Amino acid sequence: MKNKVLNTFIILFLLAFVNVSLFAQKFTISGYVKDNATGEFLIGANVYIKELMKGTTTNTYGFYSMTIEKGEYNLAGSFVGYKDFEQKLTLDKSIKLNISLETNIITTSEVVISGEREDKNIQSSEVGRVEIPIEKIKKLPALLGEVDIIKAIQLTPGIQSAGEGNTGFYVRGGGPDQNLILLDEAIVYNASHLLGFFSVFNADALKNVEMIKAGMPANYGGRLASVLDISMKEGNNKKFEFDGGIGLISSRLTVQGPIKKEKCSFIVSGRRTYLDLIMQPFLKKDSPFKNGGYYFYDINAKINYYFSDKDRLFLSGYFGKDVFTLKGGESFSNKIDWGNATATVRWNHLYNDKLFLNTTLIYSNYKFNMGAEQNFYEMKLHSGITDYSAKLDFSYLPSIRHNIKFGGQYTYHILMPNSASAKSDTTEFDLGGTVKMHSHEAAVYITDDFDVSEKIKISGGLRYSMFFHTGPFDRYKVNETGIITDTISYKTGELIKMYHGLEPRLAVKFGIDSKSSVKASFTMNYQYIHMASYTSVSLPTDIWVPSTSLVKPQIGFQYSLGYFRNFFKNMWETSVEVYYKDMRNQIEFKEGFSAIDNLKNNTDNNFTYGRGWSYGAELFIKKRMGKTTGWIGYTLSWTQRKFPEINGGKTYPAKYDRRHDISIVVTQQLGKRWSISAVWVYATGNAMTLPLSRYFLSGSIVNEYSARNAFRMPAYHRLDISATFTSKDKPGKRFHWDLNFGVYNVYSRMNPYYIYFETTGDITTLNLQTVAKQVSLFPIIPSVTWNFKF
Amino acid sequence: MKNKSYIFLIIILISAFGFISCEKEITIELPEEPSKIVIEGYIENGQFARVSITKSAPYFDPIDSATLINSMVLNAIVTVSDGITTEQLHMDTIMALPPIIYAGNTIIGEIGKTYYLTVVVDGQTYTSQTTIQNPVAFDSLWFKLSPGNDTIGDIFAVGTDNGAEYNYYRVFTKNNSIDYSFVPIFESVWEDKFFNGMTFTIQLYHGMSSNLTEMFQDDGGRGLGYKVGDQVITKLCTIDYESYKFWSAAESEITYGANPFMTTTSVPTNINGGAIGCWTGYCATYDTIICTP
Repeated sequence: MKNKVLNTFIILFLLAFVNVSLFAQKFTISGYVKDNATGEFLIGANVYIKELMKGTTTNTYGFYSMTIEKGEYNLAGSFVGYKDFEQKLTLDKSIKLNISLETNIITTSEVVISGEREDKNIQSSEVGRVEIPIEKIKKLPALLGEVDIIKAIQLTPGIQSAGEGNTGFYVRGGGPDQNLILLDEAIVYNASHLLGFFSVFNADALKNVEMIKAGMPANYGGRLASVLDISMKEGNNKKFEFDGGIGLISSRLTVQGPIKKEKCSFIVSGRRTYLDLIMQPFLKKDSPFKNGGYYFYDINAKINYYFSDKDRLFLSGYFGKDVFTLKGGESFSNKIDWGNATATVRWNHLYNDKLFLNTTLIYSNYKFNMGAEQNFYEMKLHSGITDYSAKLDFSYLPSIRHNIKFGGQYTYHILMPNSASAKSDTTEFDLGGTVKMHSHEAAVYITDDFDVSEKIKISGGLRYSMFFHTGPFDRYKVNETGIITDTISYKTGELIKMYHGLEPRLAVKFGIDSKSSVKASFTMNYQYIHMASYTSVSLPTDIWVPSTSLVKPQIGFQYSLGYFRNFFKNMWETSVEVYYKDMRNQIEFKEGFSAIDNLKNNTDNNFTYGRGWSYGAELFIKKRMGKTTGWIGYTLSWTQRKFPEINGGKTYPAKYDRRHDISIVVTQQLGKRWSISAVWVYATGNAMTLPLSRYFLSGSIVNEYSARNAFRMPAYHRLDISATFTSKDKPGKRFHWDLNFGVYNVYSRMNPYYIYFETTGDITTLNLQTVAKQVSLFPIIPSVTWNFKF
Repeated sequence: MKNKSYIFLIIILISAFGFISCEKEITIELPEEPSKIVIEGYIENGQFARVSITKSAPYFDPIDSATLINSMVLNAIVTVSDGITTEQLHMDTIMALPPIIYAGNTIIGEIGKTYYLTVVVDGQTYTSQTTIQNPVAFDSLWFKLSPGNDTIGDIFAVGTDNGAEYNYYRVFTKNNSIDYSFVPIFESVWEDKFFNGMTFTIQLYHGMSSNLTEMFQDDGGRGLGYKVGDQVITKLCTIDYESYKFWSAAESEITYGANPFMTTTSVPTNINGGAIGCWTGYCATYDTIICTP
């Protein structure tokens, strides 16, 4: 079966290339699309030839290229938030046309033409792509006034929050480790601060956020469920700019500007909470948080040099950390910290007006540390992952009907799933020392966006990926009772296990008419590194592990079908999509596993494997233009798992099986200076395992539990509102500010964070009752944030 | 050492929000679950076998004298065999919960021997076996006052593990000033994975005799420690692998069962036939220490 699929793909590719017409004389229009005021190039901007009713979009570096027949044309350029650009041109030779777009100032009475290609959702073959412009995200109400891009994408169907206090998010029933999160091409392993309350992304430093939940193109791989591709701004290369904000629990500042006007610019953005400092005066003297507390910070920095239209160099970095300290008098102290650091160097090179190359070198690191001291007992725990990668990505645009990408990538992963040291008084426990696991991941790909005809567009691609687990490594062989019977040592660089596979990707759009289309997609993905979690909630203690001789790569198949229709001249966008996902080689810790089973042992000796699948339907209605904009998203889905060694081999719902998920977002522009917005979310409660009966054991009470995840917590729902008041915008005035008022959880719904049971009563008369209690995190919380820009 | 540190970590991360979180009582509908037979049996070297048999009850049922009486199984036929001799245990009253057990008076536990248990209740038969391991004794014990305290302190013990075999331990203390019987120390169940063949030091945190009465017990301000002048008897037991698996999980459930951040799986059993609980063989060594600073 596999060969047949492969052969079909190869044939399709050859046909696609043959179709490229060689006969008529063609010329190329190419160039970059930029923001007129700041010089930032624009990602995904539309460049369109009106006469041909065809166009293209700029790539991640703002570059576009169209090869069409000699003639006279009207070229149009447009992008969300900018005024449309039009130019007549006579094409009798290949030309370079750089387009500078002017920002669109919102007027009160007219219907706003948003500038994006109005029927983009109908015409493009991108089936599972969600784009939310940063400016729109900044207008949504936010917890404590902290604008958060991950929270914003969770408001679209198919993408679900893990819940308050849980890190990560779920896309179409996939686990939190199945999302590829990229910041300027570097993987960010833990994108959450403070247990998921805030993401690590400071919106002021970002240019573009794109989420792909289906039809993942072949240039992305390594994760089953989704790609969240985030690009940082380059930095205003015309003049200095300062943006910032002061909020209730954190503040941020961004400085950007030219080092050499229009040639070299930089941007530095920082953010820190001061929750720890604010709380101090309110804490009792003997509180463990006194002289301790919690804080996080982020820094984004980037510098770019524009040698010429042919060569550009970018250097970007991100550093962020969460630090948590707890002191209890003299006998007890505990420090926990975790954070990411990424650095990328990229070089854009234009070979000719049809061939573009981006070369990237990446460093990415995630580390979690914990140290605890109590009396004579001391313990340290570390886990983390470090990546060194290199990527080559080519864009080849031979004609306006083909957008071909090909390239390769290589990553050297060093994983440290669990390392601990402990001593009690003078005894040093032998916990196995620092364990590092080495592995190499590589892939080559080719993909083409092909306009087959006016109504049919195909995005087809093939990715070939490989994974190697190499030494140094000590393999502990265990017998059925978990006792280590043998140790095999592998030398540095020695190959222990290799995996490889072909990943076909296909997305097709069938246009029905100018207002509607049907899109279908099929993708197959391999995932070689995995996150193992042993609590029922996600915590920074979750560890990353590679595939090994025991852990096979996860394999995912996703099928999706959608119907897209626009109404009232593209003012309303609607869609209905259905999907089915089959996930193989899913990983869980064995039942009865306890954390120390990881030490002086291979983590994968504690895993058990099974299958997962999820299916659902997503309904989406969006109003794109006007003074009132917003959307409604509804997802109906099922996510199940079946593991031979869990729950007696019976199928059970995944922790994040969420039957209903609803988001309603409304933004209203009131006059020139006020805008208000409201968000309402509803989600079926998380699945949990509850005790069904109890018995006595040595005079204590012990619980017997239900089938795994047989119960649901009460539903989650919440209303947030916010209002933004903007300063007067006079031409020539440099200092702009806005004041944002928000209320989180307006009707103060006590959403359950966890449920526990409390036994109360009189033991002396042996009369006790047990009641169920739920703990909620956030009641109604107001916030005020002052943002400025100059 | 074990789970304790992970518990710390998890509790700390969550308690960070203690100051803003809110709590309320809710109602949960649980389905009817048939009652299971719970068998808790022991045989120690130099002692007779003793087994308590009860039934599990629905989770929200009140815990009062009536449910306790109802939970006891008084019509069981309990037999213990060492492969050669077999005896049927008779009912006896004791000062504990539940107050009625089945006790032996013929077979005495011996080191190295395997003992087979058979229980018949209402036509159903349940069986199990356990082996009494080789003894390990503490090399020394000492008492040390807690820093900044002049009446309360901690007891430490040093032992040497046998590197040639896999050893599993359970440790108890009996503080004659407050305990009626041996109480497992806090984190009482150990395996020798981290100190195989080595000398190990452990702090004997005074544990709880029951997670029911825990909050109401008057420990005279001792907390996890002991008071100057207390006479404390320590009991170091070695157990077999199946018993280790059971007690490790059971203790975790007894101590942290209410914690929603621990994985919720039922305690595994070493009893066949559909009952839950454990048939444990202990090889015990005893020591006495008087707490003097």
